[in-house]
Amino acid sequence: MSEHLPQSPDIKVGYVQHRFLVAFGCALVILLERAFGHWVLFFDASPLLSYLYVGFLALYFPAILPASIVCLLGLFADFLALDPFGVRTFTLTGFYLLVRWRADQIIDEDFITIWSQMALYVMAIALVRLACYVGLYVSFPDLLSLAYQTGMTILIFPILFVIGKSLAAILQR
Amino acid sequence: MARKPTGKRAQNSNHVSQLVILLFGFLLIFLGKADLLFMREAQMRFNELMTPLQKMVSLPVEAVETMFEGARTVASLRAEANRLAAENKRLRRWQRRAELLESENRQLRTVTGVIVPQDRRAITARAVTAPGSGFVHSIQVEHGPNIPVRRGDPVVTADGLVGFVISTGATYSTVLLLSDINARIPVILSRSSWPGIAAGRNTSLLQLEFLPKEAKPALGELVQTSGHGGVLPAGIAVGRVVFVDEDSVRLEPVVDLRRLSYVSILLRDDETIDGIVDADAFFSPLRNVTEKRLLEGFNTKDVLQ
Repeated sequence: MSEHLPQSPDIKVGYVQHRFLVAFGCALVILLERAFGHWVLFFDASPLLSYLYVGFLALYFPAILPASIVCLLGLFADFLALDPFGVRTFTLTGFYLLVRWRADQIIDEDFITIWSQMALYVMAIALVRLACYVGLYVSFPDLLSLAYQTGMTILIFPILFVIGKSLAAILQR
Repeated sequence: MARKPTGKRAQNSNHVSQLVILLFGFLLIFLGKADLLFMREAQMRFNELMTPLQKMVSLPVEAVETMFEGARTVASLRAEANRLAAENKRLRRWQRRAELLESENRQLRTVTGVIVPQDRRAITARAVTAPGSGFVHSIQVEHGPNIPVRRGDPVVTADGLVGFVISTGATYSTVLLLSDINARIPVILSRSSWPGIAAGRNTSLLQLEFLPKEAKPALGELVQTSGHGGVLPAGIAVGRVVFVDEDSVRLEPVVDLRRLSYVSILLRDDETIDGIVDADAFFSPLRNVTEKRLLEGFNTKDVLQ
């Protein structure tokens, strides 16, 4: 969070660069998430890679990913029409704040605990998205596809976790 | 120099700003639901800007998909060959039947004097995105520059209707698939000609609504566009009836929407609905005359004239 930011101007510049890099990375992840729709397997149920990306960073590197950037990334996804307009901004920001709120409790736990907690948060967000959809259209979407999307997101988390940890280790060197 | 807030105060202000951002996201949902024209325009422009990048990002995913598809095809090559041989035999029978029907159709046309509509021309476009979400069933298509694509233009494949254009850009357009919850297609049952509305539900099946009670749709019956409303031309295959009960009739789209690569956009000529109906001439507001008012909406000058 912003209160953890160092005060030295040089280091601040470094943080700005990191934030820009992280936001650019997230934008690419959002595009990748959309690209998965090309695959027949994920036609209307792409894994929610952007949530996992934001969740991972919110857990381990909150200083380089403030809520304002998450909000902008949500807007980016909304303009790409991944969800009804506004839903992605709201849920992505909500997911970020949820992970930040619980970060202190789970950050030092073993991987299985982190995974199960993330699975819970992803399911919670899926429910919020469902509620938004029902509220907007007074109708239910394909629940099977939503469940499939949520399930795939949870299953993919370990892969992204390993990639994220490895990338972080390489960048910190 | 102003000092930065520290400790608990800074934490509180941080929490407030986060809540404000969350609230902003929530309000955006209502802004989106308002379906403002400038928002739609902005969304289209943004999509157009991002599509080349999207295509680049899609390349590795498509490569992986091709690899999986190739592996699957090799595994099922023998079964596929048998299936194709049987299908080929069946298609030859249909071809003979089609030739007979075509000849009959030609003769009937000369009798009834039916004129094939000439007010459309087809252009080919490539589907560059897929929905990727169960909540919005729309795709971006690339049709190239200087093509007069307009909102409402139908998008088809050889099998039937895919959807229609909802927003257009210089090179790309957004197509609302007929499976989207906002899609409503006026249709008729092909055998009995009862009219209805094929409504998308963001699932793989469509709902046939407003069908008269007398209509008895049969399983497997083809449903095609009726042409009512003048936006979509009549006679484009939409789907087949796959489920019928007292409350609902479900259709399966004839086009496999999950496997779209190239599509055709049926462009309108000028002398169609946009050219004929001038909305301003039909629905202009009453002139604001400050004479004696008779009834709401009328005044003395209008009545006298």
